[in-house]
Amino acid sequence: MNTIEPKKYLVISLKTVIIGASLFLALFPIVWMVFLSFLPDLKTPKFPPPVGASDFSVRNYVGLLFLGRDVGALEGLGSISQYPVLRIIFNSGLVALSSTALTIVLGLNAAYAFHRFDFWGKRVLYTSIIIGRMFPLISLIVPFYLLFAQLRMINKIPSLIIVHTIIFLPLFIWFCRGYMQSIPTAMIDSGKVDGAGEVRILWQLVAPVVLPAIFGMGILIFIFSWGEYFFASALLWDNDSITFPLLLQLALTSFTGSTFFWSAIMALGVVGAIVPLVIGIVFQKQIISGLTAGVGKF
Amino acid sequence: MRLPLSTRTKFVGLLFVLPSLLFLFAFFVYPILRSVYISFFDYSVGRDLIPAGWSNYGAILTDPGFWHSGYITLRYAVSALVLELLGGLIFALTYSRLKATRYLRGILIIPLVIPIPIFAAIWQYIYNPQYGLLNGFLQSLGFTGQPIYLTDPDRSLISIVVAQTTWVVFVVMFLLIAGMQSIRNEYYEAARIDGAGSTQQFFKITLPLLKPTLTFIVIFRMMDLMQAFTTIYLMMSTATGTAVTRDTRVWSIMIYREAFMRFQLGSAASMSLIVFMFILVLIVLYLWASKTYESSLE
Repeated sequence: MNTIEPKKYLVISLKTVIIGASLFLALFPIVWMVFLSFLPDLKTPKFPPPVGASDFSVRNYVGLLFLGRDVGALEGLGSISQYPVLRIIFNSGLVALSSTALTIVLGLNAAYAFHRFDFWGKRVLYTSIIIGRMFPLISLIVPFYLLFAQLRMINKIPSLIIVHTIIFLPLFIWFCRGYMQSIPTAMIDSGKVDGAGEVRILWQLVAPVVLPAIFGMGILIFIFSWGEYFFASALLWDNDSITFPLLLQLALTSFTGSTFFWSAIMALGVVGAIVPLVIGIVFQKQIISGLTAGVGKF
Repeated sequence: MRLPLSTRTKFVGLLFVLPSLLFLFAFFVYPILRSVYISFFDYSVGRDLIPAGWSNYGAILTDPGFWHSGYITLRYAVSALVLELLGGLIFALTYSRLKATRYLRGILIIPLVIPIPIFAAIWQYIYNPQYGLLNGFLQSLGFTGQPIYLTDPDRSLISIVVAQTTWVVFVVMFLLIAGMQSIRNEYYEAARIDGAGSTQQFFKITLPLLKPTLTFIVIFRMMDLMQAFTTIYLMMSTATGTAVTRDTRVWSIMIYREAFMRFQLGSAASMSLIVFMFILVLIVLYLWASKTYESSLE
């Protein structure tokens, strides 16, 4: 038979439509954000925006990144320019990197202990850590706020690093321990025979084997921490100590009313999206394996 | 004195797990216990603790606003879950056995790594009644009626559900693809030999074998959606200028408002615990229901 069966034809065209729709959903918001960020301010309620090629410029970016707080009056940027944008981006990076590193160091040791040793209360401890992971985050914001108010750490960046570490530590311990179970005991014992101490066995023998797990989880923690708004908004407010999501929110709320500086906001969005986007595209395999790790084991 | 080996390894194991335990105790267990304590007081930052007994709990549980908020939370969570699962399933069925998936993954992963506040900003723009894409698009198609406002009480919740689904659907899709790829191909081959069509294969093989994955997704997403904050808060607080309206005031926003806008930390602490209990009960109920359902099939 030469002609394609009508049913098969239907399936193929349906699949093409679905693929097209999904790619559109994934790409369009970002492409549109980048497109708007190069425009002057859109104050005309028209669709599509009435722009010519000559309207494109990088002035939003220049204003955001290089002029900083000296250009409060720069038209179009509005009040974003009061904030030290580069400093705030740096803060986000600092929080994300530190919480990732802290989670890895603490979690790897704990996972190793649960995997290899027998100690008093092990089962109870492990179970409580796993159950602790289920604790709803919205019920934690008040406890965290009260704690850091007591410690006089409100408006200090380490408080947010601690919070992000707490959120991921139980998950990381559980994930790494599961991964360690695939390491043959003989391999660990061989280190023992060679006279290596437990710390050296962990970091030189075990850590390299569980590296994919550490890496996958680490990237997820970094990306989460970079864009986390809820706890950051409760703990930080000073212009110099806020993180990127807070700046974006400040920019958005300061524009309500008659003036809208959408292209400047979109430029800010692009600046904040670059780091996670590059990491995401480079390490796509690790992200997906970290994300789907729970599926098989539930 | 040398300790016997078993005691020594027990001791070493405890040493490895100790840093994590101390960290979790200081920054997780202690703040929760302290906020349980504070929940029995009238307290705002900088003031004295005034003993309040159970009155915080009583006031919340008799407040119709709290129950309304619970209803909004459930409505949001359930409608978002249905939409995510439906979309995710359609996408996953298309992509799970497609060779090009590997090459398209770099695009499909974008929604997973973009910080939520950025999406909230983009969707604010899309929904903007004056300058936005959606209303502009509708007008250019000839719809000249009232523009769609995000502040419209009948539409705000569903508008946010639609917006958040456009990126979360990809998380669900990747989880489902992982679940589908773990189904052995022999089942499908056998089904084909027996003459089963693709519809039959879906209902007789894919769906039943996907049940653990679906259970995982339902629990994981419900946990998340019942605690949704960032998307709703950012989209609504800027659309309405200051506060989130009653029609989108989910539990998380209620807690946030009580603690950080009304500064009633004692009452906010008790609210957190009540919400925690409700979420716990819902999860346990779901697990129990799906267990009972499963055993009724056997």
